[in-house]
Amino acid sequence: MLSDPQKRPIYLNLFQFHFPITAILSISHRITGVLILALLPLYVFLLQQSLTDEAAFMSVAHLMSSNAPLKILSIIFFTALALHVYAGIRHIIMDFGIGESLAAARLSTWIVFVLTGIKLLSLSYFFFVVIA
Amino acid sequence: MKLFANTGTAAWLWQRLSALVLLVYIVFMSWQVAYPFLQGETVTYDMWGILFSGGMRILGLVALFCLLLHAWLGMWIVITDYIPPALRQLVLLLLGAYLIVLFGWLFVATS
Repeated sequence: MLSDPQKRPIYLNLFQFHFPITAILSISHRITGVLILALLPLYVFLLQQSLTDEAAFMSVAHLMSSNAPLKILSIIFFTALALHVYAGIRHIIMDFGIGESLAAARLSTWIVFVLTGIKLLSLSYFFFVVIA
Repeated sequence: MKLFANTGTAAWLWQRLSALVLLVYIVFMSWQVAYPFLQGETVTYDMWGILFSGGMRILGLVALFCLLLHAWLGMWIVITDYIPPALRQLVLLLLGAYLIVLFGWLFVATS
């Protein structure tokens, strides 16, 4: 059977792997893309309501400024959109052959994550302070 | 390069062209919404309506078309990478249906 140590099944715990930051950005780009598409119907609905008439617009505005779960979901949605856009810009710049060295790729990855962090903070400030 | 050929290179190019259109639309719309708040004011129903009518309606429809294309190309890559071949056709079909419904809904919602 599996007496030969070379042929034994190997258990791979993916959580024990250490992924390079560039790989984490790559998968984040994909996950945020899927997430944006999955959450889009909610925002299509809110957009439709907001454009119906002024009363509906005001009720959407009120919902956005008072409903905590919707605020949190919106922060997630727009932060995901920001990461997807920043990572996409980085990708297109690299398509032109700019910043393709490992050092440059790691630096641009950090820039994307820092900008996304700033976006997360500013969106949180907007939803929980500006329109609270 | 043949832009309308069913090749990986054409898909690669359309993914990026649609991304650039969406980038312009997202930056413009974000700025239109953010600017009044930066002035300590708010977005009114009239200001909001202007962003989806007239010339902006045309730009919105171009962006909507690019969104559909971009989502299809991006999801096609993700699905073919992670979904087993036996389920691939079904998942792609469901994705296509989802995108068509979303496209139609957004078209109606902003008209």
